[in-house]
Amino acid sequence: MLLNPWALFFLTAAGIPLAVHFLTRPRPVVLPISTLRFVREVIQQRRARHWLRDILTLIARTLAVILVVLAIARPKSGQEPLVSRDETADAVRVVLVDVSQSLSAVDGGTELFEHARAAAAEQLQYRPNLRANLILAGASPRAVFDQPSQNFDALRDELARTAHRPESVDVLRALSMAAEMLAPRDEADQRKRELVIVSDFQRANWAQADFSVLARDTSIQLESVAPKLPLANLGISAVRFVGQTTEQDGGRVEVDVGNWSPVTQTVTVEVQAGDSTRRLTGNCPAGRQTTLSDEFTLSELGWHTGVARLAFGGDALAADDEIALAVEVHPRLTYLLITRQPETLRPSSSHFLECALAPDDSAGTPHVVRTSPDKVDTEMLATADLIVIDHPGSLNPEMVQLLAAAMRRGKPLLYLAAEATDATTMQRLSSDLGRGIRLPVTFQPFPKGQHRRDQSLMSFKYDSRPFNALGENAAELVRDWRFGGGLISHPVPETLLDDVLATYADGSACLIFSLSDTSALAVLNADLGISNLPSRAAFVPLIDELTQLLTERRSIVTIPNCGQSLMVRLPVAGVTSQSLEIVGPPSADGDAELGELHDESGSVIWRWPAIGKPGVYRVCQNKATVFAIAVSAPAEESQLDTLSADVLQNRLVTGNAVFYRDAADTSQPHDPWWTWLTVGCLACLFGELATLLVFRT
Amino acid sequence: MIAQRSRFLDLAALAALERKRFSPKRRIEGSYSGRHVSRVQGGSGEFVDYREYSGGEDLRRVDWKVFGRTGKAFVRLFQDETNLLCTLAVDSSASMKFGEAPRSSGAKRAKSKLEYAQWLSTAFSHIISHGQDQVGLAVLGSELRDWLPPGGTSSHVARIQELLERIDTIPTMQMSRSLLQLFERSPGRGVLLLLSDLLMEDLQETFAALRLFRHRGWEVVILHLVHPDEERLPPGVAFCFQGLEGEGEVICSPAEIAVQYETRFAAFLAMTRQFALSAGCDYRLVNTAVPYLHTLGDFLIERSG
Repeated sequence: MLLNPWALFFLTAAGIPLAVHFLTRPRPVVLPISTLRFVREVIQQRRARHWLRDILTLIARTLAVILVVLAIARPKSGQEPLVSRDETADAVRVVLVDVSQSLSAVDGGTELFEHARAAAAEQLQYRPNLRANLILAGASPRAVFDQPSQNFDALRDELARTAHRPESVDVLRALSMAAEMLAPRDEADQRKRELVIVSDFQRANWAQADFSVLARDTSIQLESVAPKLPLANLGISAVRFVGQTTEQDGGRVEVDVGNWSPVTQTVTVEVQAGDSTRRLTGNCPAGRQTTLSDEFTLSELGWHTGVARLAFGGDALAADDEIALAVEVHPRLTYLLITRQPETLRPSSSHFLECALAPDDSAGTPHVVRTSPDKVDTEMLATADLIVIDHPGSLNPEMVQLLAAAMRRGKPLLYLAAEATDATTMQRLSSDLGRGIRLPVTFQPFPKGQHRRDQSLMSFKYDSRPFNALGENAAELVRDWRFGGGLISHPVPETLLDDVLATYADGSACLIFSLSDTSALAVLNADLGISNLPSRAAFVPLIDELTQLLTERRSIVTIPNCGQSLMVRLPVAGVTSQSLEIVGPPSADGDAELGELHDESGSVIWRWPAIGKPGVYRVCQNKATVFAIAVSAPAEESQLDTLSADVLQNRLVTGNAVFYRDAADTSQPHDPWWTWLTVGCLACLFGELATLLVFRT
Repeated sequence: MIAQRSRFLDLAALAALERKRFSPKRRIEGSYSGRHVSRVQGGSGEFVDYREYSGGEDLRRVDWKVFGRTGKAFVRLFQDETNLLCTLAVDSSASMKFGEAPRSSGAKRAKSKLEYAQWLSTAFSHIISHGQDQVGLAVLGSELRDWLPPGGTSSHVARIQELLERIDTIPTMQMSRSLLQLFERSPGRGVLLLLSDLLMEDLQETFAALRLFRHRGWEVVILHLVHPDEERLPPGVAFCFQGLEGEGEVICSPAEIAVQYETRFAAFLAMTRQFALSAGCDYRLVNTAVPYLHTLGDFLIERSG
């Protein structure tokens, strides 16, 4: 492509040096000479040299002329933009603007989003025969209009009001939305289809982009606002409290810090929750995430909110230097032991279990409440941190439903399947839980007259909890364990066999641990009363580890990121949604939507279509916090590395016409051709001079 | 009938040189008695003839009686003295015409080598015959084109001068065959005076032929004619050099090859001189820019007994 194609006419001037060479060749004067012998001998020596000199000089001169002409013609390298303001043909255009958090990164004092806004506005200028629409692509992409319109003013106004959000971008949904808008109305629709994507093309979001949803004749113009050099960034990805955070126990706080810079950094994170503050310091190697952790003690019961903040500042993305946290300090754990065995019956399975659950009366020891199945009610289940069932006898369906409801509300369950009736109970429980938990095995009682006795373990997961608490000698410790009672188990196809933590020599499962999204269920398929496990030193540590495994999930509630939808069952009992109120962080807008509370099946469900700004959101009852979540932007938004033009054009976009432009580069386009052609011309002239000097006579 | 005098014979200019004699450096074998020392050993000898006295001769040989009678001095010739048999061999190859076209801006028209040779050889023929010696002529080309054996009569000399005047060049670069033919026709001994530019391909064969003359006892004098414009190329931007020997033409710029050309030509001159001396010939480089009378005068002075 040439800027001044008319200049090519002057390529004919390349013949001038040749013409000059031949026209100015001196006309030789005819001169007789006595003999040509000497002349010929000398000329033979010098003719090749002179011929070379003439050829080189001619080439240099001709090339110089050609290069000058080309320099004037101004060839343009690379492609032309697919979307042009000068086109007059009918067209429909969708401008897709990435509003994810990564665009709040600052490069050269300017947010990337400002470049994006300017680039998008340029594509929303009025032009006859053009209809356009604007898609703001975040976690939930949103189009300004349902269909492309000619109301460019409204589109630009919306663009001017738009800001980046603490979200990632759902690329697939955004592209699908654009494809719908660009789809031809009918067979007669021959308009030019244009999709302009304005983004930093962050690798975390765009690496999985699928452009095949777009029609083949859609022209795709990629306006990149990515900085020329990768931006260095430090960001907090997540903060967690692990371990049972009780009033007596101390827990641990873990902070994931991503060092997306080229050098190792010493990072200090200040964690403040309630009245406690802790500074965590550590080295974070370049290019990856590092977890800093420390003991963390909260002295008061209930919910504590706070923030984890990077002491280092001044990186490209300030939004991820701070993350909200919410943690609940629980009172002393209460284990509800449901059993028909009398408390005075000793030795008995329930007795052994009770001793293992509460080995002593120290302050940190859970409180075990023993009850019979007939006395169990909803409130009792609500106050328990762990439900333990051992020798319950035959449980009626209502009781099983209560247990299932409690599990759905987040209560973990440890079931010792010792008797034949436990098989029925397990079946009912599994049925009531539905798809909440899928047990990897089904249980059935032994045929009459048969039962398990002196059964050893064939296999166990020694490197997983709870068995890893036994240390390196686990195999030796387990070798003389003998179990009795329990049920026959059969594996269920298409379930997680990893949930079977130990297996008997007869092939039945010994210990199962399954998780649901709200709770956990562990089944110990044995009668402790006729097993020798309670007499082994490993019994108490094993039960302790198992109960910790069951109860610590209570501290972890998977909360979606900003922009995503939320649905969580509140871990409260005996309240209705009318008595509860949702309170947002101070940074949230006063009229921002905070979701809604609904009553369902005796629980309160909090539904929020799109989580708002980062911070702590609390559900309060009479000003007291009963539940809290800390939301943040997705961790991947901290990784600011972007996809290159080559990857976008050649690997992701296939089958469509595509043009990539660096929209962030506001400098005048450097015209390398002019420079190189001029340099080439000068080089030819100098080359000619050098030739004449070298071959001078 | 009196033959028309050759245009190359300038008697007025040669008058000053008539008294000089062309003396061979070696004993010769002549037909008649002459002033030259004969190869034939002789004592008093038999009186054979009178010859007019020329300056420098022994006064005792003057016949005073004739002087008294005639008033002119004559010397008595005895058979222990004989005359010079000189053959003038003139190169008639086309290269001898070099220098014919006016090139220089000078008022005087330059002579070609052939013209120079014609003037010089005509002068030689006159001087030699005037000295009672005999002179012959051989016109050399690829073959012996013309040949007159040595003779001393005026008509013979006139014939020689006429042939010299009518010499026309032919393009050839061979001369050895013509010399061999001359050698076959020239019994006895004498002097061979070769006037040539020696620009030939068979240079070695030519000198081999000359060695034959030397072997027979001839004295060979080579007058190597070189035009001043041959030694160095003329200045100019470009010339189309046309070989006079029919070698074609070459276009070039003299400036590009001048130095190498001069070097090569100088080497050629040195080589021919070396060939001549090693063949036992007397070699003289004659620049045709020097007037032929000066050349002749210097030659005779050097040769005078």
